[in-house]
Amino acid sequence: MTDEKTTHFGYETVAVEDKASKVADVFHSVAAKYDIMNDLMSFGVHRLWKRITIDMSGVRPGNSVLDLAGGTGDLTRKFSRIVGPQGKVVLADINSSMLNVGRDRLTDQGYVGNIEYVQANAECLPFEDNSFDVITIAFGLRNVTDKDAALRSMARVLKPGGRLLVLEFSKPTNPLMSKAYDLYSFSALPFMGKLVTNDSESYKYLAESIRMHPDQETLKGMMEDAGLVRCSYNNMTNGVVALHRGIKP
Amino acid sequence: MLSPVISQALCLPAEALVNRILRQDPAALARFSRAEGRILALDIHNKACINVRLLSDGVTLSMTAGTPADVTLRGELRDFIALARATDKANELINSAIDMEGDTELALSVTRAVQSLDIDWEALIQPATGGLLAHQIGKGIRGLVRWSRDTGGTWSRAGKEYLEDEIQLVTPAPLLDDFSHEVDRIRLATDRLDARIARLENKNTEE
Repeated sequence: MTDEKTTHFGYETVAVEDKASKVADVFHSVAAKYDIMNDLMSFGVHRLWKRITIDMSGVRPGNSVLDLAGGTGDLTRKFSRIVGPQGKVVLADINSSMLNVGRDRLTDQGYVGNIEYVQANAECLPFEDNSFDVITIAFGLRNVTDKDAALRSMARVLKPGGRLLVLEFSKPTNPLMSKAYDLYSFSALPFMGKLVTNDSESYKYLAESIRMHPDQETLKGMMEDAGLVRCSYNNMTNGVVALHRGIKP
Repeated sequence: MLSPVISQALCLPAEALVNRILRQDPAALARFSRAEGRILALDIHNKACINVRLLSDGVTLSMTAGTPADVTLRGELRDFIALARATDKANELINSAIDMEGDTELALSVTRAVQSLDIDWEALIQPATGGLLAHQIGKGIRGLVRWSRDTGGTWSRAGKEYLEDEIQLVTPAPLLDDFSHEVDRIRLATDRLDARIARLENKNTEE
């Protein structure tokens, strides 16, 4: 028996200091085929969830936006078009492989000038207080070891009146849907992962980490505890995914 | 009310189509880019509200009301159809039943940009059909449009003549205008006379 602090990595219990490296291994492994897998696993619906996130963000020309855990940069690309040359988008990810894929892709597509790339840990963001009008974290929060610290860090770097949007898998609201979703994610996802990336373990972790992630109300409470106000959420696709929104007072 | 996911799914192909069309006229895109990032909402009463975000390389369409629009055009579907069909769209927008709320200058500038769209339809279909066939199709469509316009104009004139002159069921516009002016003139004269009588009556009462 040790007094070592632990956390969960999917259904496994691991030492707190080990989780980041284990998550990093998952994303190093899937980075190259990340977008293809997202399209396959969600039947393309992840694009619609992200579009809704952008619509709900209230981003305006000239705003500064932090796309946290932005990975391959699909939200950053759209934000970059909206904020225009007067604005700024920071694509941040803890994982260098994901960040490299995102940076190369966006640069190749001509999205330059108003995008910065930062390798950063969401728990201790390397930005000054009150820096961003909007922060988004899409399908990233569940991989963070200390979610409360990450939410506090995001609240710190938001400008007063700025908005945090958390797009994340959540708890389905329909029991029938929940059963079908369980069946799909524990059998089909690892199989697809094996076929496309030759890595079923990473997608087993994906399914498990979704189950371990706080449900809608719990996450809303965590955002309020981090100092955000007017917190609310919208369920999408029967609660398979939820978009949480909070404002820095 | 559609769920946000379904409404986004409906917007995607429409957005792709609009952007594909807009890219055939770079000058129109340049005009849109002056309003880059701004949002125009088309609120069709009791049916849908479509947010059009203007960008330098096209537009995005959305039915999720997350960002307040810079200008909202509110009206019935038939009003928007009439606006789309009007030859002078800015004038139609001002005089139609469509309500404008917000930055009306933005609405008018977008309307003018849409008005001045000059789409190269042949270039649009050319990747699918090849240049020669695209030209023949384009020629055919242009001929059809010209014939429809000419035939429509002829029928309209013939119908007007029949109703106004032959069976005299409808009063011709110039006669109706003369009549309206005459009624106006008589109304003003009556008002003046009324005021004059009132003044004389007051004068008598004072004396």
